[in-house]
Amino acid sequence: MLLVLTGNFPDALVSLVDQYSLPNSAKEGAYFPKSLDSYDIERKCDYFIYFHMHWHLKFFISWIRYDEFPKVWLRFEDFKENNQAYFDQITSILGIERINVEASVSKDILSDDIISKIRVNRGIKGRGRKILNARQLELIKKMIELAGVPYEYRNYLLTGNV
Amino acid sequence: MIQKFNNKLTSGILLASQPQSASTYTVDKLSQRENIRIENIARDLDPYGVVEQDLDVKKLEVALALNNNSSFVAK
Repeated sequence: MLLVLTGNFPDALVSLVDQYSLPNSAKEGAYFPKSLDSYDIERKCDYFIYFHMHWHLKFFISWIRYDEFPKVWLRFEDFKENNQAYFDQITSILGIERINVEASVSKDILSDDIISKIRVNRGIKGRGRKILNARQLELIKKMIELAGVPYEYRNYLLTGNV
Repeated sequence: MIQKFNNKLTSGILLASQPQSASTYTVDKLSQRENIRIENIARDLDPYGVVEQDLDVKKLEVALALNNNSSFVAK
């Protein structure tokens, strides 16, 4: 069984920026710019769009094309909306006992401290589109098109909406 | 969840995860079930820092061998 966990790209990218902006983020040993921490938010987002987006896109396309095993697509947006329902869906698919999880892990109800410890996307849905500027969103859109992502997936990758 | 790998029948859940998609949380929760183990089969981080989700086939083979006839979730 292949479970594919996805999320819209703007939210994921901004979350990635969040993660690597944490003081304890594991950047050592990787060829990140030494001055990455000094980049402003726009420049950081540019960096991850240019150097990480293509990687996300290639994985996404590989999952679309893979048809060897049964595959189930799961959306991070559903997880944020109702993570108990999200896990109920998974356990139902796998035929295993129900897993009780905490209430929604959205930033609305959990402290930043707790959220940073559980290392989840701290933003609410649509945060990426609010933080990225029009040029960056257009660039992501162009990359999705150039990568040849099938049309039916494009709006989801850009907005999180299906 | 009987799947075929290298012409052998084995059990497993492969979690293919986009970065920042709550995969760590999901795996941790799934592993709370007594009969589900976690096997990390991703390649070690390379200097470019862009292969966290890339699979290491050797790690997968080890995971399959260690978990023969038992369930595991591979991330």
